[in-house]
Amino acid sequence: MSRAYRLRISESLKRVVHAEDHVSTQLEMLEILPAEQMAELLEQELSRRGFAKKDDVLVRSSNGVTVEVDPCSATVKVKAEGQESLSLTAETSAVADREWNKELAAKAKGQAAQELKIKLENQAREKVKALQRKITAKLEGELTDVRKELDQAINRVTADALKQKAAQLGQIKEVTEDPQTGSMTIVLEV
Amino acid sequence: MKTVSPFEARMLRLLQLMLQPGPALAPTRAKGDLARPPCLSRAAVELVQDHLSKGVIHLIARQGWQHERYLRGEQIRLGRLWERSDVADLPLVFSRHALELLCRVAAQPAELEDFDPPPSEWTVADRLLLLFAYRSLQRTEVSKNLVRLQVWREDGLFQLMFPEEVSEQPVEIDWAPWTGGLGSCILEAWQAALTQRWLEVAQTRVQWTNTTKMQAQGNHQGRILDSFLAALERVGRWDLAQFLLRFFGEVLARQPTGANWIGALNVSQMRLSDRSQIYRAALVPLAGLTKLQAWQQQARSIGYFEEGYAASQLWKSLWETQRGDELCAHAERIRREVEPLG
Repeated sequence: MSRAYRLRISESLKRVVHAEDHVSTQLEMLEILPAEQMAELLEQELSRRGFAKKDDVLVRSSNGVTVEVDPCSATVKVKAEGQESLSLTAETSAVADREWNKELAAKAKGQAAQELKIKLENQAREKVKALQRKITAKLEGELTDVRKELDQAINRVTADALKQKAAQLGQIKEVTEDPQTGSMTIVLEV
Repeated sequence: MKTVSPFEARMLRLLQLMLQPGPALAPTRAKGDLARPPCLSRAAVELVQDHLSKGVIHLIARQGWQHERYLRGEQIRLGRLWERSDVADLPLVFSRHALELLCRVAAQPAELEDFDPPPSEWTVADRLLLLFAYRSLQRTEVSKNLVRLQVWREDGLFQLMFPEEVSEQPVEIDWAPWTGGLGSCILEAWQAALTQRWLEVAQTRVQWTNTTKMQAQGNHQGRILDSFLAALERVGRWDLAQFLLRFFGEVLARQPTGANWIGALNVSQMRLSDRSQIYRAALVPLAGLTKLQAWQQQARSIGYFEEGYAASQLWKSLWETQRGDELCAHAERIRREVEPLG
């Protein structure tokens, strides 16, 4: 007469998962001065705003969001990344029979363990998706401010370039800037 | 009165269908497939010749009747197609592949499976007939075999007329048949049809939700556009891109905001970087404006005694007529609206 018994099986999964998102664009800079000089002005302006130079690229990180600007090509990349340590466990049981030999018992245990692993992998995938959504939402939340700041930087660079250009043409008598409208008037004596 | 066999009658009916000016309904398949005979009768061949010589000319005349300006060498010519060029310079020569195509289309669909002559053997007139065949049989089983032909996949005019037919493998597009000689005159005549087709394609994509499909087709259309504009630059025929200016003017009037281009796409679960790629694919047609604007800037700098002066004058005139600068500004506003960091 067979006597059934339960096999308890547990599996665990430990790993670090990463998620990343980024967007990039090209800044529109008028070529008031030669490209190298415009790049230099952009670099100076961004340095004033807390960007640090790293391998020909200006970088600034805050709140887990990194902004990279290449002053030569005027390309901007904004990225957010994050990671999470996963520690998942799951348990299940399988019914075995005392009249089974060791092979049969091991096979039942193996099948149950395999199902548990699949379940844990599915859970891990959902965690990665959730982390990705979180990173994307964080990036989206920062973009408006980053765009606004870059526009301000470009306007500043344009104004500085215009002043330099004007100085090449003649003697600057007066410079008036309206911060509200963003307009600038340069009076020049030629 | 000429007498033909049932197969030849079917073939002639299909040819008449292909040569109809507007969209036509494909004939229903005959009850029982008609087996292709080993040889066509003299009467059938003469009727095919008659149909082609009159029907194709009629279709070209219907497309090319408008008074328009195009280049002829270093001069700008105004007039209808047959006024801009000497008729003797517009010979339509059909090769044996034209008749072979008609026979195979009239026979069982399987007859087309092993029919794939090298593109170099297709004349401009053959290619035009193939275009008419596809247009009239687009919703039938036969069309699937037509788009597998090597000449179809490589031909510039086919790709421009049907940019929604994405090739499984990207191939190098051959623009040579359509950027010189008779082919360029045909391309001039087909400008209005091309504008209409591109508008139809853009209109269809407004309702798409599938991002994979949008990206595939957008990238495909982008390749066609880049390749076409580069070919026109090489031969100095900017004027052959007139249909694009009209297309941009019309499409931006119908789809004035970013939401009109991407609104239906299901991107809420996607990463921003993936969304950007999808949006760029959706806006691919507008990217062509950047190249046309570069031509305009180049045209402004060409002096009276320089080569390409006539081409530059014509382009500047076309650009101003279609308000190219306004179109560029409008396209840029849409791009900034759509880009996450725009």
